[in-house]
Amino acid sequence: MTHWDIISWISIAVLILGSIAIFVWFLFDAVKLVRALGRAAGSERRGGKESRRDGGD
Amino acid sequence: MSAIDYAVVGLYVAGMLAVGILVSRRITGFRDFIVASGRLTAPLLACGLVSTYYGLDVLFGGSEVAYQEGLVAWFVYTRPYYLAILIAALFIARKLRQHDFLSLPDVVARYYGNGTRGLVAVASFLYALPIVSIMGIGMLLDLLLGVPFPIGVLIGAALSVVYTVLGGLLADTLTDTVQFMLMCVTLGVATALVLQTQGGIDGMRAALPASYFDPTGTYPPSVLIVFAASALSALVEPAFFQRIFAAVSYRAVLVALLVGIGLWAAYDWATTILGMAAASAGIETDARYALLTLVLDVLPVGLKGMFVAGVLATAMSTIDSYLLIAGGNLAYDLYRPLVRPDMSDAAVLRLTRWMTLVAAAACVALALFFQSIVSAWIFMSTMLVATATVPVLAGLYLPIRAAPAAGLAAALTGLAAAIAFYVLVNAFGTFDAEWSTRIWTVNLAGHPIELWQEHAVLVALPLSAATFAVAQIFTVLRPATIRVDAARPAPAEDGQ
Repeated sequence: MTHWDIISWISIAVLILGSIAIFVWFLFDAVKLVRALGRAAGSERRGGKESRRDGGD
Repeated sequence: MSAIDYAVVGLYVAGMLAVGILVSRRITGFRDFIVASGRLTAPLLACGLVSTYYGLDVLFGGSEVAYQEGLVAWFVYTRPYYLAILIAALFIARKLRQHDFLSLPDVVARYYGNGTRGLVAVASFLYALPIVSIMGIGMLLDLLLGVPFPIGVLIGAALSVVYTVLGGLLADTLTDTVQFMLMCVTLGVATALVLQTQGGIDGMRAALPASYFDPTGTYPPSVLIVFAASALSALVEPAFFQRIFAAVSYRAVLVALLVGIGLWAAYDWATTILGMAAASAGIETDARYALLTLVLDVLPVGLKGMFVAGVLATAMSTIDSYLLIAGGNLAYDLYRPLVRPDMSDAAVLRLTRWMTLVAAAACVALALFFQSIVSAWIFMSTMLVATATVPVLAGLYLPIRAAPAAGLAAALTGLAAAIAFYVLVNAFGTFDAEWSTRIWTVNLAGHPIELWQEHAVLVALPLSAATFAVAQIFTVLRPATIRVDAARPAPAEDGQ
């Protein structure tokens, strides 16, 4: 096995394992992101209702 | 391809559209749409950056060079980019995070005003049009399904634009994560299978000329310099800038770009090996499709569909991101500041969605118009580097306040010089079939000098820098002169 072979197999490992690891990391973050988006949308809806009650537009 | 392969591709496309529809309900304003309100964390940024920056031009272009030249594709063509991206990550991103920017033209507007902003917005718009990737989808659908090329181009643009227009950067980034994994995993699996069928690098070495394993290949030094200079585009890359503004913190950008460099290096190496493997397998085809032809020969049923979905993902993740940038350039960077500065946030958001559709239509038209798309892409990349690099870097790093006139002069000179160089080389040069470019041979004191159209950036960038320096010095000295004049007593008072 030449050093080019070793680099090739390292690249393959980085592509497959690295991208799966980052995707799993993303899934953990996505939960937080969806919650943050839900909170932002909720506070916007509440803000809209309150402004309508106050006679705002 | 079998029915299972088609089902895999269909499932992927349906999933992408569903994400766009779901996310569209959460978009509440322009900032949400264009930079996801600065919510993107490191893994989201890494997935988005890797999949966006690497489109079909890299997949097919990198393997094309490797198919014809060998390892030089990785050692010379791609390595300067890693260095430029590292500089962007360590220095430029930190500076950019200190301000509340939303786009690349926003940066120059802060230092030089709306004139320079308009010029950079036009250059950024042209650069961002993802013509190569849209053409790639057209060619892919033609190759695999026999769909006529113009119809394939339309399908590619339509699929990518739907979820982008609906969900903005957030939908783009969420779809990018799936697209990122698909493109990386399928390329990794394909490379592993191809390496085994070809008997590893030793097997290729027996079938290929020794020059394929020379890291500098057979390219002349002037071409190698152009490859290195083209990496400068990473310093003013609109997609990088947008992700930097959309990040939750500087640390998230730094981590994402460093992770990205590792993945880009692995991706480039894999495409290089696949291109060389296609040459060693004796595949006789258009060099750009050597990788696709080889991989579809080697992969089993099911994986073939996954790989095609991966190729589609590579294209779509680039198309969606750049269409969003191009739409933002038209609405937020050109129309709003120059025509209607009092536009409401909701109106900017609505207009950006329409302009993203306009950008997609322009892209389809250009994809159908251009015969050789590589030349068009180099031209657009040169325009961006020549127009934006000097004003952006000077604005961010000059220890004294950069003069608005200097930024405008530098942007104008860079753009004009690049266009003039292209016009001259195309008017007086001849097409060289070996290098697929136009070359103008000029006799200078008896010495013939070859000017390639790709050399435009090497002329335009120094001219832009020199113009900036002259205009800056002139502007700095001028107020001092005025102050000296003002300190002198008025002639009338002297007479009294």
